Amino acid sequence: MLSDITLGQYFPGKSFIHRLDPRSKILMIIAYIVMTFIIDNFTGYIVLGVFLLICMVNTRIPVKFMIKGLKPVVFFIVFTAVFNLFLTKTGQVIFKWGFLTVTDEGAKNAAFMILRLIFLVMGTSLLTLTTSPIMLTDGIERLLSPFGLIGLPHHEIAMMMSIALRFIPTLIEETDKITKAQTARGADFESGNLLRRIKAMVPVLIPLFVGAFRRADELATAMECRCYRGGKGRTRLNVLKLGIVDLIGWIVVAVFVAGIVLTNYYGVF
Amino acid sequence: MIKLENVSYTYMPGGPFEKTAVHNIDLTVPDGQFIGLIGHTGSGKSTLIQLMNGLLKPTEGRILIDGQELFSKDVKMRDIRFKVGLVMQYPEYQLFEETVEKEIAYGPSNMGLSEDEIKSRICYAADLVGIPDEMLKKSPFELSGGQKRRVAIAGIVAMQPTTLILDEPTAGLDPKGREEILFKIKDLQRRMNITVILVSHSMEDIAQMADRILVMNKGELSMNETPQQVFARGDELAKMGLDLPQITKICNDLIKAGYPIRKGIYTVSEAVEEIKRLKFV
Amino acid sequence: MDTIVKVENLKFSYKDEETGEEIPVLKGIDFSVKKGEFVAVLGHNGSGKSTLAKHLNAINIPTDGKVTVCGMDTAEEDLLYLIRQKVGMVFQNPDNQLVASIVEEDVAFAPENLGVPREEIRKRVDYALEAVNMSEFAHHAPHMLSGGQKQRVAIAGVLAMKPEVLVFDEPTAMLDPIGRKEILKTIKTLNKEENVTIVLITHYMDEAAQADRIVVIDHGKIHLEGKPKEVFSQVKELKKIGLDVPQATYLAYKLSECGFNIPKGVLTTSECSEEILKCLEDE
Repeated sequence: MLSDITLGQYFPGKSFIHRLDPRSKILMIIAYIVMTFIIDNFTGYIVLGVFLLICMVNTRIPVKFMIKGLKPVVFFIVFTAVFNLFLTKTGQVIFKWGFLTVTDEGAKNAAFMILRLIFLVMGTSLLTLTTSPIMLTDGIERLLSPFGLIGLPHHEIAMMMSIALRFIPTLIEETDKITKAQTARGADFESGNLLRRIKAMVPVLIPLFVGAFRRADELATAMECRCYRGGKGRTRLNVLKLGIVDLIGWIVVAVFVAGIVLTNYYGVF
Repeated sequence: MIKLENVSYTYMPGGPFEKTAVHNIDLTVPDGQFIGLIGHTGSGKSTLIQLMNGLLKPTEGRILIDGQELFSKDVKMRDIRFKVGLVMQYPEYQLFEETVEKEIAYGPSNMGLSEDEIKSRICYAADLVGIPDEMLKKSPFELSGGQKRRVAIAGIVAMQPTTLILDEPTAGLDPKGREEILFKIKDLQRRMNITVILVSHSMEDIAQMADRILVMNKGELSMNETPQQVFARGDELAKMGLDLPQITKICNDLIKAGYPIRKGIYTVSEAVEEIKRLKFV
Repeated sequence: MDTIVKVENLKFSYKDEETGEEIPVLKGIDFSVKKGEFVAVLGHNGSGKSTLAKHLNAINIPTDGKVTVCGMDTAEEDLLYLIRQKVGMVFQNPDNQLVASIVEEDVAFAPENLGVPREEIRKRVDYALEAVNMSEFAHHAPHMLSGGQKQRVAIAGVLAMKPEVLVFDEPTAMLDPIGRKEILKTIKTLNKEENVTIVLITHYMDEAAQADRIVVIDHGKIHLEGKPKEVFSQVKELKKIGLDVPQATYLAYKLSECGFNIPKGVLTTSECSEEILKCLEDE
């Protein structure tokens, strides 16, 4: 179901992680993503797993929400894993059936791939679940602002992202409604070959786009009525401030990063 | 004939947001009647109509359309949807074709009808809903709000359903647009002799049109009677937060003051007659 | 009382993109709104009432004639943001007015744009949410709210500019009866308690009946104007231009035609019942 997408679904709270400055959180998530890719042994994943678990427990967000974020990418995960499993030709063959061969390295690669993707999705949804979209875009805006000097429209980029996030639930709801309306008119989205199915989507996509443009138009007027004139001279209700929370956060992250890097040298298995 | 037996529907069963939208509905909708369906946002009326044409599958109970059970193996759901036409809320937002003509043809062509038959269906539906010929070649996106809505309704009417369900067809229209659409729907029901189920928030509209009124409250069907009977139960309606038609309220005031007036009056002309009678008694 | 909005001989037309024809929408409108007043503008769809609304805060600029707000001419570009601060605007679809994913951040949007200092923004946000009775939802996501609640957030978002005038462009057209009641109550409270001047564009007669004064627009011109009672006594005129009257008004009108001694222009059911009872007792 479409509403399963947790992206942009902020889960309010007051935990340590909720209180981190979004800039810190974004940079931390980047460090985290780098970690998921440089780890080359299971010990490293265990350390990362402990880190993720601590974070999850700290946020007090029901685990269901985080698991939900995985659902839409299950297919992708399985696909990459299978790909790695059967197409890695190096290492020792541990299984052979017809043209399918599995090597120990292939199995390891596949396992790593699954872990990486799961960690990746869980980590990023942890970011979106604990950071309001506005804080997130604020953070991105501030992080991008040095690039303003070389002509990057950082405020506009942030605004676009925050509006996109705001309208995702609305557009999902609308897609659901239009799909139902066309189904009631006898549209068939489930049978026929790929080409036919794509064609069947046209009656959903056109009204969706027309609707999105109409909304954009009305929103633009409403924003003008509220004196919006770009990023110049804007003040903010919530000003970003790095605090003691961030300091502690960074120390924790640094410890884990060091630990993970060390496992690459001293990992047991 | 639509028959619901013990039907319940729960959104996201087992999940954290589990919500029973309709509960234990037993209902038979007789053929050829004009049915008004009223209730609050969240009373379950939208769920109910989506169940009736198989857009939602009941979590419990069964639904029969002319004796065929929905979601049973040998019943094609598309055929059910052609029989029970559903016009959703703000149907103008579902339009997508280049011309009005093609828009109306979408349903009939999904039914697999011949070119000639589709053409005659277009004329038929356009005539019933009141779309002039010169509009047929226009783009639906050029039309006014009320016209767009009529095109959307014609798109369903062209499938010649035996039951037509409309979810708040007058929402957002001005008084004239409202009246025109309601008049067309009533006219259509009479001429085609089909069942119409009209969902509305307006007691006045329902009172004017319906042979029978269904009242939904908190997921349950709490009334299924004639308008007169329903409006005579004003106190219960008020408890559900539903308003009586203004005329009924006024008549109730007169009854309270001791004047002998029939209960459950809901049109201006009826009220005028009754009050005149009082004066000249 | 001081005049706060003044519309003089307002004409507006736009160019049809295909034919290049000038299409007139407003054909010479004169009216004014006094400070603290609650004015309803009635008309059917396409009568030009929304276009008129858009002139009050310089979204549209007159083709001819003049619109002044708090003494400022809307045609002067330098005054644009001052004018928009003075005249707040609330539209039909609450979904398409909310910018932020958290209620309080949305309410803060306008003062942020205006460069209001942070402590002052906080005060204004708290005030605005309080005024529309939505304080407890400050940290909610708009898409989880009901239509009426969303619309109240939209009102708060405009109130945070501390406007003198609020223009509502069919604010209840997409709401259910409960949402409509909520919004109307909010509008009346703002008018009575916060002393905000209200211009309510609508085609709902029962909403217009609540106003101090009604202006009826048809085909880009003012067709009728006056107190609700005066306007609603013209049942025939209203029906002629595609408007309707509440059933209570219509009943009173019909009875008075049948020789009952009932005043035309009855507005509410209770008023109607009282008048009928009075009449019957006189017999």
